[in-house]
Amino acid sequence: MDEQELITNIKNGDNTAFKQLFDQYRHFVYNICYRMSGNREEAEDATQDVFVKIFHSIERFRGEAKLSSWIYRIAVNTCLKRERQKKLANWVSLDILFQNKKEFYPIDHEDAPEQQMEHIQREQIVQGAIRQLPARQKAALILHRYQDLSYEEIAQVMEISLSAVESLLHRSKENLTKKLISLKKKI
Amino acid sequence: MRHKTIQKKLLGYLDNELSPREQQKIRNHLKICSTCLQELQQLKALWQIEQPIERMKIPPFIWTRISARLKGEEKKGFFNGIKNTVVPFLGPVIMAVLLLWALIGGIQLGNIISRPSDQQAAMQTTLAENDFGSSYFEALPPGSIGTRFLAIAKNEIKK
Repeated sequence: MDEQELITNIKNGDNTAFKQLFDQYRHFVYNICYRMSGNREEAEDATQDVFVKIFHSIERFRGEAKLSSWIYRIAVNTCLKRERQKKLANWVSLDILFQNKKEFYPIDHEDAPEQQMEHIQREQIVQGAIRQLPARQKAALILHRYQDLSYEEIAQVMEISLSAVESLLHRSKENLTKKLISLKKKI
Repeated sequence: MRHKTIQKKLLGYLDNELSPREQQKIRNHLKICSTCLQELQQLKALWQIEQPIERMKIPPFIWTRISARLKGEEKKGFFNGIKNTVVPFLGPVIMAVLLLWALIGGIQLGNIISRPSDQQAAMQTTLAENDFGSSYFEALPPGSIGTRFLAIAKNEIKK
């Protein structure tokens, strides 16, 4: 089933077609959600939200952008919205003072060979630093580094200009370098 | 360039994303600065590692939950449809009813407070007749409401 056929079938209420779309994009969506939130439960909830939104708004998808860019956009916007809501909720409840800061990486640690453990630990440090970046810088960096999107694709997903993407990525890397250096000193 | 300025650009340098002039400046600086070179090597070890995207574990129950949410929304759909049609009008209708009720209630209350009882009205009429004499007023036509009212008032006073 090609992309156009898939979209038409979903619009006609074909659940099998929607399941196929889910299978095709679940890794990308989950990756973005996990890397944006840094928390498995949060990523699972956000992934559900993203696919429910896709289901409800596929009717409005006119095919002007690529389906993948459109799905990325929904995923990024959902994560940014959830992050804003979470910040607001934390601000109201002051939970941020007591929340568990422990973060983990969703890789099967048990059967990871020893040499991979170091790799995982390094990645955890980078992940921890990325998570501390301002939301939009974080989104741009994740799309670029982990989803391997080009500047043009990021501009399309985030609905900003190419120069704004360049600026976001430039600032995100400067901020990330500072954070990594300071984190490294603490370790 | 100062060490701090160099260091914050190191990731950009590693990804070769700086301008050729900046890349060259940093390259020159690294040749003579062991501190920045050490920072670069440590950052490189952290940053330039293979990305383990394919090993991200996606919980198998996510699809089941999405399916359940969509089915749940379908069931709620009918009631939501009614709710969406009715709710927007409910507020203005309630407000209009309340305003009408307040208006009618106000009129009723005003009548109760300002209207004298039958006995008081009759007393006032008789007092006026005593003060001004009955000739002061034009004779009421026989059988009219006024004549009957006056008769009741006189009876009440006699009692």
